[in-house]
Amino acid sequence: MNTEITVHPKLQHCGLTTGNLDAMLDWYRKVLGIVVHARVNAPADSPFKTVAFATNDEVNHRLSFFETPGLPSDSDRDRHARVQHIAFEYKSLDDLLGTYLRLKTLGIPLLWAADQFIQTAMYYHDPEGNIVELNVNNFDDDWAVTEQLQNLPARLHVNIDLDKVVAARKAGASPWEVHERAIGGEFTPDASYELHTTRW
Amino acid sequence: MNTEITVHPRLHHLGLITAKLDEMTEWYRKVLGMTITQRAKIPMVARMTHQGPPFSGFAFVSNDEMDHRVVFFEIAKAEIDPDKRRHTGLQHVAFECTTMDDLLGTYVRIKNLGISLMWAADHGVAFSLYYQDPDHNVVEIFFNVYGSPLTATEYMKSARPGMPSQIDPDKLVAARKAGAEPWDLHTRAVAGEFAPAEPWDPQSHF
Repeated sequence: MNTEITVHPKLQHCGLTTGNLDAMLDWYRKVLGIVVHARVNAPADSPFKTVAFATNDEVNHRLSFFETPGLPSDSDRDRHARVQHIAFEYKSLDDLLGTYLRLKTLGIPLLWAADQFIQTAMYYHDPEGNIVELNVNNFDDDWAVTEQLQNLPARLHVNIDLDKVVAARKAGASPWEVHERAIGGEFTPDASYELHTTRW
Repeated sequence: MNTEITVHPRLHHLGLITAKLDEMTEWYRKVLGMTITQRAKIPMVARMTHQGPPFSGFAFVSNDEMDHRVVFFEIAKAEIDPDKRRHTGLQHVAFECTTMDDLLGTYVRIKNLGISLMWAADHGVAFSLYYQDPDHNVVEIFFNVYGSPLTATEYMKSARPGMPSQIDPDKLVAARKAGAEPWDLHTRAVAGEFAPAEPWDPQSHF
């Protein structure tokens, strides 16, 4: 067996600890469409009470949840090395925008949305305050995204008001035109996002 | 556009906050083969005036066709949470090998680099190796013993996952080199044949 040349294993799932498993599963079902394939009592000497394995695609689990009832979030998390966000990718701008409207109807508040040159992304807090990013690439080709990332403009992103983007898209703008108009500043929100008071 | 039926987006990447950008990108390069697609510093003036992100720098890295699989955000004061196990957050992030030999070969390669294993187990569905990155984030590298993701899903739905069978990967490597097929290794691991001489404490390792 090869023990010298680096093998590239593929990102497959994330595990999250939680103090409230039901609230987490409900939120991820509503937002990402997950189903739970297994929900098991953890063995007696495990540090957790319940473990749930959930997915929204063909892989057996994309998210695993480790519950210790009442486990608090880190009140000092601004001072700690940690996960900043977990990201999920849509195949089309319409899937992203349609999801934005669906989540808005469900009363799930948006934290931030921006055109980041490589992608258009929106951000939400899950019930534990973890940040979930939902994105769509601005390029159809994955390698073009890599090229854009290697040649990133200094301003990094342009904030967008997704309602304005939806209106432009419904008026017939193609996804690429939406991207060009977004970085041109046409969809800038009237009231700026409260980025520096949001818990990132 | 569809605004009612739930669309299923695919897991794409995760972002990590770190004070050790160089150490982290180096560790992810050595362990997972990640290369840097983009690395930049955020000008101080942008941070002080809230005109930019609250980071001093970032690095986007990937080990496959995606532009990034992990993005590191640098915050110089970010420390390891001493109470990590008593706070909600990331429990681990997992990466999949396509063959058992890739998993075992990677174990040997990483060991030769002097990076120590945290623990290892046969979970019934996968052989998993666990490592801690320089910030003590837990990185799992695994091989699905069922091959097909759909068969692994069937296994999950059968709700058999229980206590993992702890394994000593060196014993697995020896058995594999002696000719055992991955499924045989799985059967023998579950029977306890490859248990480590000193078991890992679930309270501090799982």
